[in-house]
Amino acid sequence: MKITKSLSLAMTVALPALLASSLSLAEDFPVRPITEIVPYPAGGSTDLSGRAFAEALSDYFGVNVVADNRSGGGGSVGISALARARSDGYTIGVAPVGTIANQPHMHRTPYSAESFDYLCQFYYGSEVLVVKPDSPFSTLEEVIDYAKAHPGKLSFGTPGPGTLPHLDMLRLQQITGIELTHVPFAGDGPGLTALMGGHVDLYMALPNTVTDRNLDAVAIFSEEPMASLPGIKTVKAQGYDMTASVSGGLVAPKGLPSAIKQKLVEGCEQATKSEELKTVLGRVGFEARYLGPDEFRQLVEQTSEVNGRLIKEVIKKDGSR
Amino acid sequence: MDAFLSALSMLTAVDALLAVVAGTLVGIIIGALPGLGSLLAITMALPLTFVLGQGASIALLLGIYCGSIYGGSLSAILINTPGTPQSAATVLDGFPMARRGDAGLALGWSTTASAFGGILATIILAVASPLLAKIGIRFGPVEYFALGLFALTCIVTVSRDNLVKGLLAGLLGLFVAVVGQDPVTGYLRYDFGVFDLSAGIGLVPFLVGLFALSEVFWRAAEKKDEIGPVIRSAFQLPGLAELRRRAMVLVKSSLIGTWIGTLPGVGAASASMVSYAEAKRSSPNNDKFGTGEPDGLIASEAANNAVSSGAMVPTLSLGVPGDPITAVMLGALVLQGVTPGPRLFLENQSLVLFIFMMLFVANICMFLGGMLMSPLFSRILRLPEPLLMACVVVLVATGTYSINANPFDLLVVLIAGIAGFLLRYNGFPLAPMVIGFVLSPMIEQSLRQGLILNQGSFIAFATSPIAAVLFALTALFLLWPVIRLVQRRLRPERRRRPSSDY
Repeated sequence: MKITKSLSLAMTVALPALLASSLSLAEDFPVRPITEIVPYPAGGSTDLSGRAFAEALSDYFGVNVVADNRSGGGGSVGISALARARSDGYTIGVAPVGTIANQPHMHRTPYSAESFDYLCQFYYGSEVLVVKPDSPFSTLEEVIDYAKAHPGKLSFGTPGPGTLPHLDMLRLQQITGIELTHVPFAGDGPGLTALMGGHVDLYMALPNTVTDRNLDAVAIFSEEPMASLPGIKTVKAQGYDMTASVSGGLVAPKGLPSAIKQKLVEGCEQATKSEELKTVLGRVGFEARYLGPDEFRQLVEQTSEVNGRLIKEVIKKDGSR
Repeated sequence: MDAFLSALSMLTAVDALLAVVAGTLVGIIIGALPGLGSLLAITMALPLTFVLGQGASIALLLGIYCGSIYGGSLSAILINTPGTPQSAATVLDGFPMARRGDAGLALGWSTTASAFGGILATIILAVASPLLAKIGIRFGPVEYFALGLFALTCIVTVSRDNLVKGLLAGLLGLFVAVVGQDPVTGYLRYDFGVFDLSAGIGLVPFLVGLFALSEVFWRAAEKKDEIGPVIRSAFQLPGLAELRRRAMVLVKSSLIGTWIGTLPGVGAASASMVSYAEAKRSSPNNDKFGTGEPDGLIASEAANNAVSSGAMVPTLSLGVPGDPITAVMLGALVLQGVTPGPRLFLENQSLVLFIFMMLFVANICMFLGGMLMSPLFSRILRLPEPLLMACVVVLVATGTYSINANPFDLLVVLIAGIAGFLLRYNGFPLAPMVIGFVLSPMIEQSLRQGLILNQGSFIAFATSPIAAVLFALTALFLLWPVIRLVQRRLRPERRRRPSSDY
């Protein structure tokens, strides 16, 4: 008797839920947990930002948004898993602009910048050109003068070939007409340690590298100087028309039903306003900066075009720099 | 003094103590299960740190870190499968000891060595952290290359039966790790147009396939007329006299582990190999290495647990994580509003002290937890073999899949398992293959970075004093048998003297 009673109770609870989930319409979205793929390992700045954003989305939608790390291949493993996922809105992912725009030009990937529906950009960080401790350089001009007199003598480290900092350094060399030697590392960890040990001369990093690690920078690649980095001039103020940043946002596999996309875009915009998100982003060196779906897509497409050309002209022609 | 007192009050908080005990025990279990490693354990705990306070979060993570590295040795000793990559070198002498019937003693040694390594490293860390960080960053590409080369001599050590086959297996390991993206140009190598290969072969699927799955195949193929090993005792701590006799190896291995831990990106797996190679070079019992010699076990376990403390040096004082596990810990600290880096030691001394004290407590918990739990684990040896092997297969598959939810990893496990079985069947040792695989990326990348920085010249490699010492050690190690032979030829009277070496 007891068993039948609890069974029937379970049925009355479970049946409508089952029906609801099978018949769920776009208006009800979301009715179950959402998976947010993070294409980098746990603990890094992309992961921490992605997790904080998942929290903010959870608060907005009222369902769990679970961060799921799928790392490997410079982010391309996670992004391909995302591209292959069902486009029902229940699998979304954090897409760093570099991974989604550069990797398809570096080698064959099962995705391209066109494989996704763009929801929003939520994080942004200006790049900063950091110098090794006791470096003789304090302005960009000094670096450029020295490099012009001694081509290939100065070295710069990057978190890997084909990453955004690498391509931005290639752009800087083209714009200023200097020649530097590229030393790729397996991520920022080993790379920044090598800079601190004086094994490389320059490194393209995030602003918090300067404040947290007591390093000096010669230029910041943003439009305006940053209040947290007093005395460090922008590249523009030092006479070269160039900006560079690391940013990323939320994307979904292409082909979302428009009503669901609309809801995700709305959630994305609201989540970017979360105070907790802003705190976490600040701690890892980013800031919350919202771009709508179209602007974010344009940013990725534009980066893909510029960097695709650079990769073809420089990296694929001469792998060493 | 204020800092000390406030650190102490954080330490004695109930939630922090509970967290460190729970973390250690869970860590030991997860570490002992093949395929589930420290990284998985600590990533699983990361969301918990959102709810726990600062002290409890750090305590939990440190407990898991220490516990899981130690836990890997349990399955290495008992079922010939390193539970975590860090224990790959523990298999070499641990399993032969267990097969001989000394499983209890082997567990005792690994527990003692692990705790000793962890505690000594913590003390060093507390005293010399900023200094160690300064020395650590002097390691550039050239020095990393020299270190990698020295660790590679381990292959000679573990191929005692057949050097040629050992070297071939080592080369194979070096080569398998080459699959994927070229670290310097970004080109793909040996991907055969398969996208999944472009990210390279993962360490965990490769390792568990090669050791665990091939062990299962091996046992299935064996004739079943022998009975499993007789276990004399479930857990046995080494006696004091024994401990004194092997104190040298314990101390030296702990120092090696601490020091390698301070080098970002080298990791506990390589540390245990370097330590094993050094112990083999200098131990009076070096002829018995690979046949169940406690010195070999001690070298590996003391070093890999010392790494967990050593790795906190660059993490805390430079803000640069020493390995993927400390990367997650760094992330957790950042979420708690702590910014590791040079300023941490000046601005938040009590927290730094708290971390050191907690590491100390975690190692003591690990020692007690090990004593408590290894008898439990050694019981699994008494399980009927088919059941035990089936459990291993299930664990290996679920464990590997849980890391990245990528079915391709399961394929890697299967292929590595079949390859491992075939290699063993043909008399190739498996350990050199893992050594080659683990060291390959470090050796390749540092060699090429060094060449880029020195305009393609090899001369700079010899002019760095640190690298020169490491190269000399490598050469000495490789030439050791020749030197011994020459010595004996020159002084034939030594042969007559009774030697304790044999």
